[in-house]
Amino acid sequence: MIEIKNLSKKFGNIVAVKSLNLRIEKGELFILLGPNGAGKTTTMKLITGLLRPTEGEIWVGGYSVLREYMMAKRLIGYIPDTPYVYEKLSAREFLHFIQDIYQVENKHKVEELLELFHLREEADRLIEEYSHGMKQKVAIASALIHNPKVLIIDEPLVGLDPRSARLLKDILKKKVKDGMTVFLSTHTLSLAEELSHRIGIINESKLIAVGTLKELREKAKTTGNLEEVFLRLTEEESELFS
Amino acid sequence: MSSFLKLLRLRLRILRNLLLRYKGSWFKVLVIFFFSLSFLLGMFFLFREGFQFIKTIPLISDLVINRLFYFLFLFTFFLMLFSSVLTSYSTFFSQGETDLLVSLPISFRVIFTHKFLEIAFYTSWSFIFLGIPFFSAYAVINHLPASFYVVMVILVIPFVLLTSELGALFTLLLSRVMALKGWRIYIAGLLVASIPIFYFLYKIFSLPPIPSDLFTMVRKVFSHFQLSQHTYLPSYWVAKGLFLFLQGETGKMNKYILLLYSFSFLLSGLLLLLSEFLYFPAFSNVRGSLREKRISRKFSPLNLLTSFFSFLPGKYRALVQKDIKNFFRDPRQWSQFLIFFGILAVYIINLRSYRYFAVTPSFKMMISLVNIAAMGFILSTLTTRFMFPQMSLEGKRIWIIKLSSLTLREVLWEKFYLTFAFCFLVVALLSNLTNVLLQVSPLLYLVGNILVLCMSLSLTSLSVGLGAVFPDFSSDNPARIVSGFGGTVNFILGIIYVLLVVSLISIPFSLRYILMKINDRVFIVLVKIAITWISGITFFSVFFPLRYACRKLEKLEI
Ligand SMILES: Nc1ncnc2c1ncn2[C@@H]1O[C@H](COP(=O)(O)OP(=O)(O)OP(=O)(O)O)[C@@H](O)[C@H]1O
Ligand SMILES: [Mg+2]
Repeated sequence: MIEIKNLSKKFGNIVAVKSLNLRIEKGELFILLGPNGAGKTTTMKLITGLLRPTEGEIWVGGYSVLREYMMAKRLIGYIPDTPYVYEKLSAREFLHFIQDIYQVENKHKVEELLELFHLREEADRLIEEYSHGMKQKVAIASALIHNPKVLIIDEPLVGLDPRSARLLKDILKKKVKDGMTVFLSTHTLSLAEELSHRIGIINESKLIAVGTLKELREKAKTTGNLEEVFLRLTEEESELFS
Repeated sequence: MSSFLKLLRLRLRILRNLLLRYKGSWFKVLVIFFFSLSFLLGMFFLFREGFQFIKTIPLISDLVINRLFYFLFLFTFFLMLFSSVLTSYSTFFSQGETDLLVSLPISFRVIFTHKFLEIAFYTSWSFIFLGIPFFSAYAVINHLPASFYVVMVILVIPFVLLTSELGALFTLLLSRVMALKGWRIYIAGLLVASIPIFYFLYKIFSLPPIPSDLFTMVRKVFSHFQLSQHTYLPSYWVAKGLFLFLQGETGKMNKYILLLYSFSFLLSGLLLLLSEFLYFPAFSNVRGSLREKRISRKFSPLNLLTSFFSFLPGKYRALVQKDIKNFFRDPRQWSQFLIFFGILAVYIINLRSYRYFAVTPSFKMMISLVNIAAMGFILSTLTTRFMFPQMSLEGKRIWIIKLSSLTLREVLWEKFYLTFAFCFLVVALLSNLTNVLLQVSPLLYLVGNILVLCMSLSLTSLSVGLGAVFPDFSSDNPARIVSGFGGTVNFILGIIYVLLVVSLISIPFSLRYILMKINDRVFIVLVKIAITWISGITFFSVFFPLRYACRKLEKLEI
């Protein structure tokens, strides 16, 4: 569903992503881990077409993100690390706007999502009056409105209360079962342990390991939990390079 | 419905929500309404007086009007062009909304068009707002039919559009071609591109040497303004169209209207075509170049500048240094700063040629007084444009200050002192320089410096105070903060103050030197009275804005 070939992104002299090759199948939940500044957000922005790659190419659902961006973007739902929501709209108005843009036929979708995220009661207040977590929920709802084939989430759990976090995890599980592809980055390792089909670890702009949790354990030569695997793999790499 | 219309509907909805907020507070609405109305009316009467005066000039009054219009349209054209170039960079590539829109399935062309409309609105609304009383006054004085207003609208729409289009096109091309290195190059390119424009302005403003008799002088001056009637200038097409209408030559007028519309359509087409290919690469480039630069911790001009303030007590020093760094690291701020000083440079260069004008003492006196007024306008632009947004720019970060040992009141005073010191320094320098160039009399020299001090005090406190009274914490864009309600109030009050001060001081000087009605003794008494009045007005205009601001800040909740 997502195909990334030889992807590189430079910001001036800083290399944020270095020759990344990755294929993510339909219905897969892929989690990208990595230290701060490793290049996770940049990778996601490249996939969603917010940045132009310096080199390489990306296809989503068979459409080139660069050349057929309208088709590709229709398939994608994106929740950035700091989502933008119109502060002067109510949640309901904002969701209706997004629904309009994606030309969603099902007119009950907005109400369903408001219900699902327990936003019904606040739905007519301006978003500027919302708490951080509520805004986050609005952003998540807006990315789900058109039943995207590919969902890309940067740090999904930031600011969510335990119940909402649970809700999001359940939604992700269900959607993946229905065939949605999810590409997600996080620092919450338990999330990765619980949900992921495959995990990618990116360190200093390079993808250093990809595989199931089991495969990664083998690679890191440890039997411990993901935390240990993560520390092992990223530490070795930095030692190699230092 | 196309996504263009959907976005338009979104804007309208946001506007409605903004207006709905005023629903309960009818008093505020009333105040705003009356304020705008009285501003429009005040301007109208002022312009009417002006036109009335021009009408009384024998023989050449038509000529004066003619040249005045060409010149004003030209001036508006350049101002709008600059303003659109500057706002377009921050609008096209602003963070936040643009990122959301780019991630949605909306074509780049549509996003670009929306941003463009925003730019066109922000660059033109204040000119249109001023244009309404101006042209109404003209129409009323000359008993023009209602069709005049229609023609004005028809002429102004393509003029505004094509000016913003030129600015947007310039930004789009330049940021694509050169934005690889971001702002610095952009500004450098902008400056290089504006050299011919400055040269052109220089040519227009710098007058030829003065001939002996008045008639040749007037003729020479007017023929000099011929440059503003260059056929390739869109401002010329508007003014020409207007005059052709006034002469009843509708057929010829239509040609110019056609020219304006076809040029603006041509540019629209070009922009629409290019935006699909150029907007996204430029956007991505600008995004990528945001955090590339490293801040030198050891030596830089900025560190040197801030180190001058190390004598201040700790907390004030930190604030001052933060303010200075923020200001000079924000390209939207210092780029306008540069342009502002560019215009100033043109002004000073031209003072040299105004000296030739000073053939008679009375004329010389007039120019010196006008120069004081010019200092006032410079100050009020400086304070409104750059200092008014300071409090708003603290934005949501203001809680940091609220939590610290500093009170907001102290922050306010810090901004007041800093702004005052800076503005006073700049304008005092400028005023002394120009006074030397103009060779003004010692008394006027002294008075000029007193006035500059007074004006710096009042205008600073006006901008700092009103900046706190009408903060706009939601915007990060200084240009937009200034064009809001508070900024407009600031500007108008500032201008009113300057006009008041200059008229007060002009009374004794013009009675003595221009009209020659009074003797020296009476003159000195009058000067003293005028200065007393000015000090009084200054005291009030320093005191009230700051006091009101302090009260407002105490109640502020974020
Ligand atoms: N707009 C930009 N301009 C310049 N450099 C950038 C820009 N965005 C990111 N970078 C650089 O690219 C690298 C990768 O950044 P990125 O935001 O992708 O990291 P991340 O893995 O998402 O980190 P985090 O876990 O902190 O969110 C960093 O070195 C960063 O400094
Ligand atoms: Mg990130």
